[in-house]
Amino acid sequence: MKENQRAVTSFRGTAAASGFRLATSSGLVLACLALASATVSPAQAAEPKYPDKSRPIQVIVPFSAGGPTDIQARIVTDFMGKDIGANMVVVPKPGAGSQIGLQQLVSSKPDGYTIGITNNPTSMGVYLMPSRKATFNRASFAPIGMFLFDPETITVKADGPYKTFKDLIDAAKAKPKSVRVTTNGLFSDDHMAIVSVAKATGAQFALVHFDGTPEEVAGLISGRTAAAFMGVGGSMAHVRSGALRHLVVMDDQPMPSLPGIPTMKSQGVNFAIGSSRGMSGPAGMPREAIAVLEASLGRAMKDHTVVEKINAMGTPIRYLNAADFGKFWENMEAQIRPSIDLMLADQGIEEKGTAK
Amino acid sequence: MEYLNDLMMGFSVALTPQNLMFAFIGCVMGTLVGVLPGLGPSAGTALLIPLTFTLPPTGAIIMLAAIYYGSQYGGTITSVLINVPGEASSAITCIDGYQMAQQGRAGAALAISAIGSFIGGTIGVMGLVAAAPLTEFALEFGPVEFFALMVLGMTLVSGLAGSSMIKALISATLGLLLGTVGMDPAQGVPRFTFGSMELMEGIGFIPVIMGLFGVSEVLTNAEEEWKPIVTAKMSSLWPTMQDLKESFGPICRGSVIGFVLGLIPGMTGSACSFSAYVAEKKLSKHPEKFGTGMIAGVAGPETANNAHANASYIPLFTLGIPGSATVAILMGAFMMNGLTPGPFLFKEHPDVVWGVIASMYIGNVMLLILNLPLVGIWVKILKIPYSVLFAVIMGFMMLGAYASENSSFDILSMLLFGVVGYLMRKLDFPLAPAVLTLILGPLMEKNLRRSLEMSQGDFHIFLESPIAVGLLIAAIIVLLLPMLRLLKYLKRPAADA
Amino acid sequence: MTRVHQAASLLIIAFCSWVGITSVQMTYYTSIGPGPGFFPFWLALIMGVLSAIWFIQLWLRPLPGSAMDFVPNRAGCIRVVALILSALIFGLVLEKVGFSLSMFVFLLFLLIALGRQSIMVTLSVSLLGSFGVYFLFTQYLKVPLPAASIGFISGLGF
Repeated sequence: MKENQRAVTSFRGTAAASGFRLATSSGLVLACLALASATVSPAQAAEPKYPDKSRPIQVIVPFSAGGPTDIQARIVTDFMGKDIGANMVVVPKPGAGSQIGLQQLVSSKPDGYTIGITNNPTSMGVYLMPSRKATFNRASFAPIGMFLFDPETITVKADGPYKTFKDLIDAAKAKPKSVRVTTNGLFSDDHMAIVSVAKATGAQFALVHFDGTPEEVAGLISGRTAAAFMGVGGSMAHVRSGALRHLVVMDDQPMPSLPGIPTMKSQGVNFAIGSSRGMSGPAGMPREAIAVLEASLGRAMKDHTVVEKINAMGTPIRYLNAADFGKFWENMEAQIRPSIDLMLADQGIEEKGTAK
Repeated sequence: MEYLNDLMMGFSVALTPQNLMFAFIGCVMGTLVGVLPGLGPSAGTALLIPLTFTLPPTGAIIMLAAIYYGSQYGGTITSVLINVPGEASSAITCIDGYQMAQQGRAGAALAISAIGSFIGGTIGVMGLVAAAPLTEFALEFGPVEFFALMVLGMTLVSGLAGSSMIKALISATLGLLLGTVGMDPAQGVPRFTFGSMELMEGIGFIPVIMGLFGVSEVLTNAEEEWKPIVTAKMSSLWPTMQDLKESFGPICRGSVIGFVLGLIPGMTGSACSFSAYVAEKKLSKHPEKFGTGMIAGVAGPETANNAHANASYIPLFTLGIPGSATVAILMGAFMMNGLTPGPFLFKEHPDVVWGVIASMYIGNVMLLILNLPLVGIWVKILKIPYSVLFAVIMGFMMLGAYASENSSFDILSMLLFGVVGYLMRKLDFPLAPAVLTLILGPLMEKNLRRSLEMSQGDFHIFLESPIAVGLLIAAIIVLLLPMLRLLKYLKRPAADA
Repeated sequence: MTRVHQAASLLIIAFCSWVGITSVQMTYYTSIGPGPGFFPFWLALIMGVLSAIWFIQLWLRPLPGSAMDFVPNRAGCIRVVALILSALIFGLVLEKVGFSLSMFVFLLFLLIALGRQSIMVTLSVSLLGSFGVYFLFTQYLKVPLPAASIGFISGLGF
C-alpha cells in the first residue's frame, strides 16, 4: 500500500508556476490564458482539450538519469513536447530494475498527464518474477507506441575461434560449462536469451553476469570470455571498429544494418528477443490523449534529427503504433514466460510457476 | 613527435573562441553540479545532453567533458565548508577538510584542493596522450584481478582506525553488512530489503554519506546552542609555505593512484580518493594527526579523484570501453554525434579527439583560475551565523537526497544514517571505515562471484593470474606488518615496564 | 559512560544475532560459490565477536564520567529530537504537499523554533530556499521537483 500512496504524484494544477514560465517564454497572450485557467479550479472547469498547455506532461523513466533509456526519452519527448505544444518533463525514477518507476506509472491518475517509458522484456521480467511481488501486469498499462527495438545478438571476438553460431554451440557441447558467455545482469534480457538458447540446443555454458555492456566488451576483447549476449546497440561500435563480430541476431528478419548475419531462427532455434522502448500510460487513459501522443510519436519517428540521434547511438528505431505495440507486447510475453522459470532454475532457485 | 603535432592541432581546435566558451560553460556548470548534493556528475551530464543537440559535435563534447572534471572541483567545496559531500568522490575530504575549516583554515583547504585537482587533472590528461600502451593494462583487469585489488583495499581499513582498532573494525563490518543489502549477486534474491522495492538495488550511497557526515554534524551541533563552525580565528585564505610543502608529496602520490586506478574499467572515483587518503595516512610521520585537519588528507584524495576522472577517458578513446559511469554517458554523446569511440576515432576524427584532449588541458587551467578567487567567496559562507546556516544546510541536504533519484525514500534513509552517524560519533566510532567498506564490499562480492562463474567454482583461478597473486601477496603483507610490530613490542616488555 | 558503551555493545550483539539468524535462512553455498547467506553470516559473526571483545575491554578498563554525560542537556535534547522529527515529517509529506510548500514550512520551523531568528531573516531564507529553489531547479536546471498532489493544495497553485 505504501507504494501506492507514494506513487500518486500527478502534476495537477501547477498552473500558476507554468503560467509564469509561459509569460517569460511565449508572450502575454499565453500567460493570460494560463492565469485564467489557474483561477478556475480543475474540478469545476469543463475537461479541456488534450493537452492542456498549462499542465506539464510527466514522463516517468524507470531508470537512472543519464542511462540510455533516459537519453532516448529526452530526445523523443524534446520533439513531442514542441510538436503538441506541451511541456513534457522527463522524471527519472530508477530502482529495483524499473519496478519503482513502473509501479508509480500504473498507479498514477490515468488522465494523460503522467505517462512513462516501458522497456520490454525488462518490465515483463519485473511482473512475471514471483519474488518481485509486483502488483501490476500487462493489463495495467495503456500502450501508446513503441519507438525502438534493439535485437539481441551473440557477439564474439573478431579473430576468435568461433566463426558461426554452430561453432559456439558445438564447443559448449563438447566441453559442458567451460565456454564462458556473458550477460549484463542477472534476469536481464541477455540472461533470458542464454537460458532459452541453452535449452533449445542442449548446450551448457558457463554464465558470467556482468554489470553492463562495457565490461562484456572488455571480457571479449581480452579473450577472457568466449561470447557475449548483447544488443545490437551495445556491440555495433565494436563490430564497426573490427574488434568484435556478430554470430547471429535474434530478430524475426535479418537486419539490413547487419549484412550477412543470420537470424537465430535460421539456425534452428525459434527464439527472437531484444530490448524495446515503448511509451505507455496507466490503463484507463483517455482515448483522445493516447491518440494525440501516438500521432506525435509517429511524427517524431519521421523527424530527421530524432532519427539521426537515436540511430547514431547504435540503437535501431522501430516504430509501432498503439495497437501493434500492444500485440508486440503480448507476443513477447508469451515467448519469454518459459525463460523465467529457466532462469530461476539456473540460479538454483526452486520457486516454480510464474506470476499471472 | 607525431603526438606533439596532433596535440598542437588539438589546441588549434580547442582555442577557437567558440570552443573556449563551451569549455568555460562546462566548467561553470560542472562546479555547480559538484556543489549541489544529489546532482552528481552523471545526472548533470545527462541533463545537458538535450541542450547539446544543436551544438557542433566537438563543442558539445568539450562542454560535457568539462562538466565531468568541473564537478570534481566543485564537490570539495561543501565537504570542506559544511561537512556535506557534494558528490561521492569528495566524501573522504570531509574528514580533514572540515576540521581545517573549523580551525579557520577553510581557505587553505579549498585552495590546496584546487591546486591538487589541477595537477591531478593535468597529469590525467597528459596520460591520454601516451594512452596506447596503457590500454593493455586496463584489459588485464578482469573480475579475478578486480577481486584481488578489492581484497588489498579492504586491508587498508586498519589504516583508518582512530584510537581504538576494535571500533574501527566494528565500523568496517557495519559498512560491509550495509553493502549486502539488496539483490545478491549469486542468486538474485533480495537480502535485508524488508520487502521494500527501494532497497532492491542496495542502499543509496549518496544518502548514506550525506547522513553519516552531514546530518550527524548538524545533530551534534544542535546539542549546544549552535556553536559556530569556525572555532578559531580565520587565518589567511591562502595556503602557507608549510602547507604547500606538506601537500607536495600527497599531490604526487594522489596523481599516480588516481591515474592508475582510473585506467581500470569499473573503478569508482570514491574508491580512488579513499585509497589516496589511506595511503597518505599510512605513509605519514604523524598518522595519529589525521582527522584533526591534516592538509595531506585533503590534497591526496582531491588530486586522486581528478586524476581518475581524466584517466577514465583512456579506455574510452583507445578501446571504446568507458572507464566510469559518467564517461559512459559521454560515450553516448560521442555516438549521438556520429563518432564511434575506439581505436579508429584517433584515425578518423583526429580533430575531435585531440580538440577534446586539448580542451581538457585548457579547462583545468580555467578551473584553477576560476576556483582560486572563488575560495574567498565560498569561505564567506562560514561567516553566516550557524543558527541560520544549520537550517540552510538541512534544507540543502533534503533537496540533495531527494533529487539524486527523485525519491523520498532517500530522504528517510539519509535521516536514519544521520542518527546512526550521530550515535557513532558520540560513542567515538570512526565513520570512514564504514564508508570505505560500503564502497568496496559490493564490488568485492560481485567480482568474487564473477570469477567463480568463470571457473565454475574452482578457486584456482585466483592463482592463475600473476596480477591477482601479486595483489593478494601485497594484501597479506599489509595485514602482517602490524603483527610484526606487535611481536617486536612484546619482545621488549621490560623496558616499558 | 562505561554503562552506555556496554549497552551499545550489547545492542550491536543483538543486531548481529538478528542478521545472523536471517542469513542462515538464505542459501549458504551454491554449486559454484558462496550464496546469498554466506557473507552476511560471517560478517554478523565477526561483528558480534568484535562487540563482545569491546564489552570485555570496557569491563577491564572502565571509562571516566557518568552515564548522564552521554545525554545532552534538556534544551539540547529538544533541539536534536525536533530536528529529526521535523526532517522526518518533511520526508513523509514532500510528495503530497509538494516541494515549495513543505520546504517553506520546514525552513520556517527550523529558523523560528530552533534558530530563533528575526522575522525578516526567517522569511527571506525560507522563501528563497523553497519557492526560489523550486523555480531554479524546474525551470533552469530541468530537474523535476514534486508539485502538490493533494487537490486543495494544488488548486492553490503549489
